[in-house]
Amino acid sequence: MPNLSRIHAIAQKEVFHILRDSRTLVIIILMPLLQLIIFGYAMNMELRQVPLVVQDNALNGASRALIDAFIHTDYFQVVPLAAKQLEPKSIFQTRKAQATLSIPKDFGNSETAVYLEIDASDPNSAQLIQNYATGIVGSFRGSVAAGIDLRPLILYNPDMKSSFFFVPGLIAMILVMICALLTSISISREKEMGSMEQILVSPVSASEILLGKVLPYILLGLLDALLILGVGMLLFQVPFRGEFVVFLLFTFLYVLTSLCLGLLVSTVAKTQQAAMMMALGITLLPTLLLSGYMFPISSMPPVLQKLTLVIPARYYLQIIRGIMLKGNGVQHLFQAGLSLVIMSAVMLLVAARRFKLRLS
Amino acid sequence: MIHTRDLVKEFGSFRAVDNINLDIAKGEIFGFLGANGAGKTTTIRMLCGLLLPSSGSITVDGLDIAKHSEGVKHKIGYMSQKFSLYPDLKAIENLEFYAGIYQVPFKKALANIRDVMDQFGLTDILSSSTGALPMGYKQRLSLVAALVHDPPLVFLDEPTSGVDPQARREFWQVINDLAQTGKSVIVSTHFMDEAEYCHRVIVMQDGREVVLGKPAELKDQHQAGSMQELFLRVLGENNAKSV
Amino acid sequence: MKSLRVISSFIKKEFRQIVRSREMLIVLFGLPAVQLLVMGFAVSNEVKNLRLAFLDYDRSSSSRALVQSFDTADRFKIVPVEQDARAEDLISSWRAQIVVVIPPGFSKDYLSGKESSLQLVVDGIDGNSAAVANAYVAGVLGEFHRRNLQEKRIRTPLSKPIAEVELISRMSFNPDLKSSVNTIPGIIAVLVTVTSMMLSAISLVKEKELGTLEQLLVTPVKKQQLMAGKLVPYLIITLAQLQVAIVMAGLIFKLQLAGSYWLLMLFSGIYLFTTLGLGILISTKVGTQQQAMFFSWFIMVIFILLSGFFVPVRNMPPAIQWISYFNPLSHYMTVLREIVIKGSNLAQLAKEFWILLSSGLIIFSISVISFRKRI
Repeated sequence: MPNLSRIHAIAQKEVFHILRDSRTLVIIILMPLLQLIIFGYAMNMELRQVPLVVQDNALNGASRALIDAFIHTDYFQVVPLAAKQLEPKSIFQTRKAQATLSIPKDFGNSETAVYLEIDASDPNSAQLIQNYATGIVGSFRGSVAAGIDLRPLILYNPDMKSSFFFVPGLIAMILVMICALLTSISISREKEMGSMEQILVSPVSASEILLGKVLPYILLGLLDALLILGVGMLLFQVPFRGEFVVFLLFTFLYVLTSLCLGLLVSTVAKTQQAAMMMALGITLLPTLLLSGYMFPISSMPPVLQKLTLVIPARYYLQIIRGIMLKGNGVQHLFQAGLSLVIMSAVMLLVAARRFKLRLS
Repeated sequence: MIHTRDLVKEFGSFRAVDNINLDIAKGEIFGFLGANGAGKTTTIRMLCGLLLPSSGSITVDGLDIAKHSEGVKHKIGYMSQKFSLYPDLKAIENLEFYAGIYQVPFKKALANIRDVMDQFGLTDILSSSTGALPMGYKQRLSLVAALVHDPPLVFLDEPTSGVDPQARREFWQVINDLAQTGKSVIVSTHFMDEAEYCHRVIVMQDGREVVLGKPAELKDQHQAGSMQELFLRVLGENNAKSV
Repeated sequence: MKSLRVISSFIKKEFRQIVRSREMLIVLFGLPAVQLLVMGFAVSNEVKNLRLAFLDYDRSSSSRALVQSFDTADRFKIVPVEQDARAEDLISSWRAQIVVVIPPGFSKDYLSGKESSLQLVVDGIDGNSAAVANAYVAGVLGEFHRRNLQEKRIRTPLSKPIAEVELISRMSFNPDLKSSVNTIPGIIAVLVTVTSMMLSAISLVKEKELGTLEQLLVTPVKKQQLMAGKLVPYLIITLAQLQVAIVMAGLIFKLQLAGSYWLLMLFSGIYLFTTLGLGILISTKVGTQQQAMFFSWFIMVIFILLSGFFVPVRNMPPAIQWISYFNPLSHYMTVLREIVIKGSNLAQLAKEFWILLSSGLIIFSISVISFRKRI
């Protein structure tokens, strides 16, 4: 049975470390805010004012009407064709435009096709450009004879504001990084400073050391989470439709998992430097790319979909979006929460075992 | 070899070093004695060029340290309390590195330190990883590393702390040999018995010189039987004076 | 030149330290390789396997045919639901992302050529997917309708002649619209940035903590020599990492380099001056390795978020675009992408060249100046 007073002693020492290091403290608080602000304002998935070069070889009423249709949308910005010949590839290489539209001579009479060439070096944008163009041409065509009218109802985010999508996820990303980074060096730092030996000489056990090191950071992590949440809601009017207590509970679980991740790294790495780089490697890109934050998990190859099951951010993302945007309660999030608990437990156990191994 | 005039160092309103005047000759072993915080390390740091004096002058082998700082550094060897060697390099690689830094061809560097290395018995451990070496060897290696460029002036900041008496004696043997070859050795220590091995010592307190002179003479002057006694007596007198 | 001797001593030392540590080798080469592998396959903007549920209140052969027509390829994954389920509940409980509600009487109206409608309820949390989902569903419906027209199942009223326009689109440089084309260079740029900044940010602080920095300060080593001695090894290591990544990109992701390899290396070298310089600057300002790590993380994440990797810079509000101008990573990513995919040459990338070159020189000079060779 772990001795509480010893854990308390270790936790207290860790707190002194934290408080004394004011620079790090400032970063831990300031950084997420700055990221939130920048990211929140910068992220916008829709394309607007895409530069489009138009070559009109027909120069008649029909072609002008079509070009007008493109101009009148916010999606495209027509750029005049400088050269005599339309050379899409070189236009794209000099980045004068992202798409070119070529209207043939007999358009409106015998020709019905127009040619759109898109710079697909950014496939994401290219797809959107194609969609927009198709939409414009479609409505230009005039209404189709009675077909099926599709009435979409978009839930939770009717204005399709990007901030609703990005801000909750930002909490997930920032939390995991801070927590993992903090704990990842806690053990290797003691080793490098030489103070580890002193601790080992005392009757403290491996699990007591680990628990003592994790506890202070839980509080720090939770505080950070609240800060980000508050500012996110204030600045971007992201709603909070769920219950605060539920948020606290699940955020606590996530913070715990992230800290355990860092702890695991710190038992693997021998130097602070390696620990930091490992922690970064495991949290930065995977959280950004594999958690479902930017790119949907359902689109990934099956193998990778299975891989995402071990990424804590994946679960928390669902949790935080569920709470903030859908008003999910515990019953909806139970599975995700359980996964986090299991992950924490497993990581702690492995860390403890590795730690004991390294000591002996 | 090295002269200071009215050397002062202030950190804000705190005077760490207060008017120190030194004239250390070639081949002299000069000891800095004093409690922690007396100003020994700060003075040594200024002499090494690590710290800028607040006022006063320092000349090393005729060169004014303020004007010729790079030139002076070629003439100085420094062994710090932390024995700053790279733990993940082999012993010989550490030496190779410092030789390169001082732009001394490695063969010549080895020649410079051969005698000391033999005396210290370091030739066997040259290919060991520095971090794995026991403390005593780290220390010796540190001293050797400070000598690769054959400097006429060597600074040793508490070189024998945490080392067993046998090793300490060997260390001082080497220091003596160095002095005999003409090198000036400046040592700071809080082992009073080591003070006996110095040609002259300075006792510092609160950044100021309390006494300076040959150990034998100082003991006579203050009727002390040992350096330890001298130290206590001299500091006691100093305290009494300031009251 | 004597300086060279000094600098080469540093280079030798740094290399020995890194190469000897198996751990560092793994972190520098193994870990990024794994990351590249995993991310390269994971990242795709294609929307697939959308969880689609139907609430069919019509239950006619037409409505069943409609449902059937959605069972195509991998765009949708049809989720079975109970009869009395509510669309909102299905979406709120994450069971479905799209719910199509077929009202009673749908087939009667549709088959007789009258106006018929379907309700589409979409989970709006993921705006991108929602928009695409909308388009997909419309697409399937359109196809469904066209088929019915062809097979003359519906009575169509006389329609006015309509202007036919057909849009033929073609994708330049990337005809299959492979998203790896965009993301692999982006991931490589991120990896290279992270490595170089972390290595350099920690380097000086570590020496500070060890005590070897003090030792170095006593020696006649000049500031510039010390800096160069730190810069060169890390430059070489990061470039080596870049090689590995490029080879992997070619072998595993079949990414072909359309432009000049040497141009790519030139730009990478210049870019690394900036990141390494930044790292060293951080290293001179902090006291512990932990602080170095947090500071560099701080800067790195901002660079990455604003780099145009996830969202094109053009999308961002003008104020932020302006900040992005000062983000060397976004310029480097542009360069990588342009050279790899479009085969751009130096003339076409001149703007980026000058920006990266000057930022490297400026940052490096600042870090040299701010490093004081006195305690």
